[in-house]
Amino acid sequence: MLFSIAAILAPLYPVDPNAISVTDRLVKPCLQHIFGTDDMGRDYFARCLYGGRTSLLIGFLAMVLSTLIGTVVGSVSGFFGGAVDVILMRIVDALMSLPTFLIMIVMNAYLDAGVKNVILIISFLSWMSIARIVRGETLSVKEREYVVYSRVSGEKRLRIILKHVIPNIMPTVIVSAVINVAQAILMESALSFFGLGIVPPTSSWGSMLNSSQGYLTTAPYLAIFPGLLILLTVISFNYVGEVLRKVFEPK
Amino acid sequence: MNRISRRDFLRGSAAAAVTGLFGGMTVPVFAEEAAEITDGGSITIRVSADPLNINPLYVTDLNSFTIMQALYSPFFEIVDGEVYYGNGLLESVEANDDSTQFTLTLKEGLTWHDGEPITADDIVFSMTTLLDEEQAVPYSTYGYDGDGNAAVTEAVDERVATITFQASNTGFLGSLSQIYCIPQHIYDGVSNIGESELNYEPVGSGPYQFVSYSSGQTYIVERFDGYFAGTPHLDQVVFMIIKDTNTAIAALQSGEIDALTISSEDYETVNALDGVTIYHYNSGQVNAMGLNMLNEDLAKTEVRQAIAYALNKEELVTFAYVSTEYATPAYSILTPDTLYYTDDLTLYDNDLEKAKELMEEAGVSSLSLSLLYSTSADEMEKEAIYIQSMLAQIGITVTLQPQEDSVFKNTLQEIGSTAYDLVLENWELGAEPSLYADIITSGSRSNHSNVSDEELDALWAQGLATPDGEERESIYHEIQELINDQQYIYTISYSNGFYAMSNAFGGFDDFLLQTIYLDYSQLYAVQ
Amino acid sequence: MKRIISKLCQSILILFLVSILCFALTRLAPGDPVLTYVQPNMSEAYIETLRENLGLTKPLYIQYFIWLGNILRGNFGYSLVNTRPVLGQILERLPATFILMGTSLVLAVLLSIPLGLFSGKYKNGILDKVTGALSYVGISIPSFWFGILLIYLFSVHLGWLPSIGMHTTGDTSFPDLIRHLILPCSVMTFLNVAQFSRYVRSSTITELSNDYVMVQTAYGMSETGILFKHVLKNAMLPMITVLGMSLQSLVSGAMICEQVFSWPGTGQLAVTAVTTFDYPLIMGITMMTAVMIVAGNLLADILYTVVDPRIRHAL
Repeated sequence: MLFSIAAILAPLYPVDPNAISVTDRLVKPCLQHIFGTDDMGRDYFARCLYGGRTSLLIGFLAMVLSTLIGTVVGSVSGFFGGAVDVILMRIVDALMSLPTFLIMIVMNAYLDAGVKNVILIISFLSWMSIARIVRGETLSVKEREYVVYSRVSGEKRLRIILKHVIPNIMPTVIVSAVINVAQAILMESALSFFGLGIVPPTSSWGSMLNSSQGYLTTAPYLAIFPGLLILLTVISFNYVGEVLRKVFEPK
Repeated sequence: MNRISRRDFLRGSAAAAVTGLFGGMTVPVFAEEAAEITDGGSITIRVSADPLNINPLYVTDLNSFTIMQALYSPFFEIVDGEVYYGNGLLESVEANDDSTQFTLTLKEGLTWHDGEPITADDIVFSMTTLLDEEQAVPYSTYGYDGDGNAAVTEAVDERVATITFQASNTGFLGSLSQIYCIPQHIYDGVSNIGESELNYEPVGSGPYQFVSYSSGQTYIVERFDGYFAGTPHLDQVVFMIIKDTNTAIAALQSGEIDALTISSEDYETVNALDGVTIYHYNSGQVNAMGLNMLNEDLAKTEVRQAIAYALNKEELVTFAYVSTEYATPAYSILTPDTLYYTDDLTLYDNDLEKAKELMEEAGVSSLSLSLLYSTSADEMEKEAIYIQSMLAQIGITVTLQPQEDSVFKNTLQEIGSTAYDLVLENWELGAEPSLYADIITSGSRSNHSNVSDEELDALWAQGLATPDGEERESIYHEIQELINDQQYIYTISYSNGFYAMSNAFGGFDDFLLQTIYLDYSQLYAVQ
Repeated sequence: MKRIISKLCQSILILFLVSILCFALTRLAPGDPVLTYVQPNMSEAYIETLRENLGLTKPLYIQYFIWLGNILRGNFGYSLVNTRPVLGQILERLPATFILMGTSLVLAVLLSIPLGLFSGKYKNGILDKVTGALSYVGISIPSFWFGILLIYLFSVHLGWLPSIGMHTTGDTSFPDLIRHLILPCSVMTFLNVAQFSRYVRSSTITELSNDYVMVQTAYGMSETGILFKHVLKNAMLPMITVLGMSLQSLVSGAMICEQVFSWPGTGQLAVTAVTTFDYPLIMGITMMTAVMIVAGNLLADILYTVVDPRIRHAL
């Protein structure tokens, strides 16, 4: 929560995150640059702040989108079973078989780089596993006594899914969602490699972490700051998850 | 600036280190001077990917080329602009007066790794293969003269062969140094030599012979006792395939590998290591920005000059390469060690007022350009970011267009592409000026600026057809002036090469002949 | 029996679908493999001949049927880039990937089940907090970073373990392999445990709150007994799904981890194939991965019915 606020208020910080400097290369954290500067002499704190805007946006929206698609496909597939299940799951199988990199390269040719497309691509690449997990859970839940009872007593299917199935699979969905946030933030930097991610000089935590690789021994702070921020983000999302879990707790 | 010879270059950089230009870093120590040469031992050298094809006529990537040179000997090398026979198969090569006929004489007693003698017939066979369209040799252009006529090769006796052209071909020695001899007794009658399984276990003529290759791991070669220039010092050379640069540097530190080339980015990290010496050499690489002439605004000379004026070349090089010690600002499309190089050119640099004036003259007030580059090199991203921020000052909005390397090459190599306005590119073309024509000749695939300048085309052709001498020199000077005044290509830098090697080995000075040309027989273990 | 035949038919259908999709994708990409290694002064004739030799000038659907025909005869074709046989190249790399991914999967399962179970059982206890913290780290840090960190610690500073490759040159012994395996395997295991244990923990908590557990406790069954006998079974469901999906990694490898440790597996091969537009190689690797994915998911379906027999008639 605090991060989101900090990221939204980022423009108040008076330093341009993209202002380059030939002389201030790799300055260690000090008063003037509290997170130091990167290999292009840019203020690292400003870059972390602005990077947070992109990364949190991507992490959050990609997570919501992929979890939503995954949960819907998974629960429908698991609950209805039969032909619906076969068709949906085989589509998932087929999509999972295609090499991620190949999809990225092809998309590079047809899509422009930018936040919206990054979110779409990441969601498209990550909903399949959530769908499989949700389906497995649904299969088990729908055979439980109370669900069987509801079905026998003629309740509407949609209602059963919403009332009994979803709350029961929620804990698992939350775990996948939290893992997904981190993966989306990191995947963005992989997309950058294929020219699909955030276009430089705009910063993001993933790409900052990525370009810190060569400075592990000379300037470790370049990796530590974005790394810590991603870690803290995951922890806070997990906390939100725990709260949600209590809300959904089946009575 | 005068032409610097390789030795001067090395000496120069050592001096620079001593005077503390490296900012208090460990001073590189040139170990081999005090060291004693011992025979035996094994060195592990990093290559960044699996070799693709080790057959010297079909080598197209640097990793294959690096390994291939241990296995095959060239006819000769060109070192500091002079023909060098030390590691070459030839004893002499002579051109007639009008450079239409070349006489090649092999050294005595040469043998292939399997013991068969190397004869003039092997030369004829290699040249025939080169020119055979069915064999699809990538650099077959080396076998033609300026008018597009193929060379005719004949064996005079066991050791002597002649190569004849219809027109004068002054650049041929440069080309011939890049053509390698392959064994006729191995490849005779093979319909598709490039794809033949025979290349998996090459039979070469170099100081080391093939032992084993395991995909993704190592390519191992061992000493060839029948090597013509004396027995090589080391018993074995292991090429270890390590894709990740950070891993490779860690492996150098832990002693799992002994040598690798590094970029300016990693210089400081490696320089801080104990027991490792960084050798500087001239990499022969020119880094530049192409300006696409198919963009109607960039087609205006004033706009191109304005772009050059808006940038500060020294600052750009410092920004992208950490220090001008690691890369030298470049003003000509030829490298300083190329024949007829000149830097006596009009300076278009760092004058914001002039840039704004020129933009006004051209009637362009605001301009939006895309800048294409490959994500494979960190330097390119830095160059791009610098150019973007500087050009903003003269009202040019630059949109960065990073692409994965292979996609980048596809965009780049399309003839007449309008997919980019500006593009970051580089080339390594050696010391022969005529070989540079391909990057800026109408209709050529490597002409990424899509320049179509008849005067320039005529000059390139004239340069190739003129025998050596002052006349030829003035033609190439004119070419360099013309390209500089037109700013078709904004040259950025000549990147220095850095070879990091463990102090347990010596002989680097004689090992690296020129740019990427190596003589592995010179490496030795210390103590 | 009928069910098995139907599943098999589905699987074959999927493989066809994947092959068509993948084939279309490779050709939709802007990549012309020939152009990726064009250099100045290369002859145009060479570029043209190469395209023709590689069959790139024929119509797409014909190229596909040629490929299909070959593959049905067991011929995976030749790499466009280094002209070596595709199948041979993949088989050469498979053992390395299998050893690395197999070991780390097994270790991850063995570690994450008890960790997850007990973290769930003693929610907010010390074990839960420590595992939780470590999992967050495992989920948030990229494998390249963790890998390079281990290399610096154990290879460079302590000098205990080798950092690159599978073998020391000239040494193919088993202990040497194990020494090389430790670091990459630790990375993969750690990353897997970080995720797996979260799933097990979450399911454990849900199961423990179910009525039947209360009933069993009331009947005087020991807590650990319940944990392993009843809770584990149900808590295994999401694990089985995740495992089923992970099965393909035995063939496809872990690209980043392999690259950091210079491990000669299929993951690195796949990246090279994609970035050089080596169509036959991409197709070969994809088809093998597809077989594993289909098999893994089938296996997961079967395992569901083992741990929860009620699911059987739902499938």
